[in-house]
Amino acid sequence: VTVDSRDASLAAPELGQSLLDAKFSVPQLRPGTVSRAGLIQAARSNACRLVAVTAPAGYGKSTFLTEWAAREDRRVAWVSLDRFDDDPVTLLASLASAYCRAGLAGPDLVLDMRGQGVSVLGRAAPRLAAEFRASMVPFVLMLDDLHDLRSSACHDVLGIVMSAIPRGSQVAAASRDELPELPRLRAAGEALEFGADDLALDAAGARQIFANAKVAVTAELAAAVTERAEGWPVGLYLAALIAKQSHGQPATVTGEDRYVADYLYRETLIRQPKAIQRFLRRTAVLDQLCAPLCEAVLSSSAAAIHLRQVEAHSLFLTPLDHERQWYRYHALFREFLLGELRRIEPDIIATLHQRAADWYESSGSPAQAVEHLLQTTDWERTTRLVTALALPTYMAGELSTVQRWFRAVGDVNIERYPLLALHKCWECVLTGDITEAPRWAAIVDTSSFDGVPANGSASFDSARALLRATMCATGPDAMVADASFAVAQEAPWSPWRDTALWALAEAHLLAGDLERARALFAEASAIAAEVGNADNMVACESHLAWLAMDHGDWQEAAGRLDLALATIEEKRLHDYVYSSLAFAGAARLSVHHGDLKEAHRQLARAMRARPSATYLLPSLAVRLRLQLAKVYLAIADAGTARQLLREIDDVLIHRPALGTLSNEVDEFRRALTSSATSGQAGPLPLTPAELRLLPYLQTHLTADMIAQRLFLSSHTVKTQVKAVYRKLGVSSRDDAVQKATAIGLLGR
Amino acid sequence: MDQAARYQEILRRLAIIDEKFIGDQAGLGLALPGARILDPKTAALVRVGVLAAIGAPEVCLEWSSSRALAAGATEGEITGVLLAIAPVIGLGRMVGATSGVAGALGYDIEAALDDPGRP
Repeated sequence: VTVDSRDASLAAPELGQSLLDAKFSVPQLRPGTVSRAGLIQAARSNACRLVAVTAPAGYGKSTFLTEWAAREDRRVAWVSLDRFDDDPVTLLASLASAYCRAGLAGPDLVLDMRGQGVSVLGRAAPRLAAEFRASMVPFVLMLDDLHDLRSSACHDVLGIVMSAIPRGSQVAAASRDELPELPRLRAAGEALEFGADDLALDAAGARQIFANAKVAVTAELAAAVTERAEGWPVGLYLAALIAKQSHGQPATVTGEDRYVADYLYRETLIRQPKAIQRFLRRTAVLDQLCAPLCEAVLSSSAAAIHLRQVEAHSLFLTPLDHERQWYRYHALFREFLLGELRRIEPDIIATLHQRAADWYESSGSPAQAVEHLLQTTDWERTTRLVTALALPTYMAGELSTVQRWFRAVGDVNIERYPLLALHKCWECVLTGDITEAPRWAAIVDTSSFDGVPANGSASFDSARALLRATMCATGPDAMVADASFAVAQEAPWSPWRDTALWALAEAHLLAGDLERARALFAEASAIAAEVGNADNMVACESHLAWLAMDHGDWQEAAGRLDLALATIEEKRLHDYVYSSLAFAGAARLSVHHGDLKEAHRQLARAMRARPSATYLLPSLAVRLRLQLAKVYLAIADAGTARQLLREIDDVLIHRPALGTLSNEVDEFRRALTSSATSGQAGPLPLTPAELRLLPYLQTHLTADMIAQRLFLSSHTVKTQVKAVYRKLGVSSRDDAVQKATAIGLLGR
Repeated sequence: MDQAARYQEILRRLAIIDEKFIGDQAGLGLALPGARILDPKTAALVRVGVLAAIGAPEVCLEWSSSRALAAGATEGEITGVLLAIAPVIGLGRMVGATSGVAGALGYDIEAALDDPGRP
């Protein structure tokens, strides 16, 4: 029986909320669990910041944390980490969510972790760290399955956050592998470690497990089984289960070998009816299960019954919500089932994933559908869905999710789908990736696509023209032509309409037609506000404010800047590249009002945001720096103005044709040369390279490791560190971080 | 601050050329003379040349080159100083200065030499 997708969607339990609840809730302690009270007491009474539980699968790490949480009287913030957390933005959002759910902070904290183009190390991580540090209430942050975090970026973030755990609070982390943070914390006496030896059960524990399974066992037999299993809890549990099912002797167990686990699981599995075996095997492709999803994946209405049977037999199923609609398999059991699936019916795997994707898509969870499609080779459908989701996902501050999809789809496949290549190129341009963007721009340039674009734009040609206009590689005339084409193509209801109008406004600004530019910026801003494209609105209002100030209309400028700055705050757009224009405008306005303190605050925000304004966005890169240089010259800081002018020259090497903007630069250069304030006594500004390095000073990474992260030589990193210290007037790493935070270059 | 921490901080501040500290504690005012015969840019370029000539440590070259840029010198003028004084200071001193100058210009000379794909 094929499940009707409409019925499935009606029957779909509240997916998102249930899964979130499960992820951040302390699991329920199973009755009859062998208690680890002694270990828990040792951990709680220890002053160490980190309690690291490191052991192979099946040692009861999660159960240990669960029991600890139940016995804990401090607040507990719990995260069950998964593979999606192996991304610094997602990880920070998960940690913040857990912290909020524990009643330790407001929901603003979570929003602060996600923002368009948010700087993970520079803003989000120090924000969360500051929150931890300031906590008046002692807490325990429990991180289960930490081995799912593999990227160094995640461990950099974790390092910063862990250093901020205040005295009296702790992090408890369960992992299959040793944490990279552990050696340093161990050396500092900051870590308490529990390993497999500590978690292994003794004969008394074994007897309790057998007793719970209602299998009679003598003390001698329990001791023998325990010895053979080397105290491996899941081994003992399986042995008891098999003994119960076969009404016989406990199975022979030797050690923690994975083959032993496989053997024991198989022993458990073959005692089940064939239909249940098939159900278990096939549903193992699912990260989480509910009855309608299982019915869809197995194309069988019996699936719901099977799910209930599996639950009734307590076959390694963990409920994820109180309503018992969503479940997941125990990790080790699922790994075994997937192995079985690959061994017995490998050909069906792609089909199962496709059905899961169908169900998720029709249930309104397209992002989950993408995750399943990525396990298939149906690139046509995968790329179509990713293309459709790229913009809204990016707008929701989930750039890292889009980047992960891109990585999973792979460059070769992206190249074959022009629209996806176009989105990849946008991503490179907005993040300032100067090594990758030119290649993708070239691919997009030579591609063609006649179908209906899945991203909502009028045509591939229109979308491409918009990208070309924004990149402005060949000057204002071509930019006007490209942007005009996009404006003509994108209908009023297109989600790209405001972006097209904005690009055309920029083009006219470069071409020197200020009146048309002004009218188009205003139109683009109004549409952007209406459809909720906050980022475009901020950019257009900032342009309009600057134009107003050029005309001496300071009141209009103030109104527009207020709107832009409020939107940046509300939508967390601080690190979005175009927000820098608003900060620069606000700085100019403050200088006009004689408020130098505010001017310096806004200048710091703009200067901090400038590294991602590269020659890929030449108009922005030059205009922003020129605006900033003018403000700096106005406050008699010629040295900084010169630094900005040098950066402008670097952009002009790549993009020499920038119309009237080039003339404005020449004019400013002359003004600067003839300026009386040629000496420079004060500290110099941090260069873009030094700004990129700065956030790493919060970590415990060595110069060599920082160099690896930034693709620099360690010699250069050391030179830059000295220059950063000198410019900040400090002589140590901690002081540098403190000073940079105080002047607004790090953190909020 | 205890004695050890005090001398350690002095050494760190000297090592990075903390101008304010060196001016206050060692009596060396490093600010460029504004109202003398040489204009600040020329004076800054001369300082680069002299530091190269006496075989000063890398951090001195990096610091003086940064100051020269801030005083309005271009990257070309700074490397021009090295070439101009080479005949009188010799090959060793000139080459010895490159690393510090490159640091100030934001050019990762070692990574560039290491990486075939990079200019």
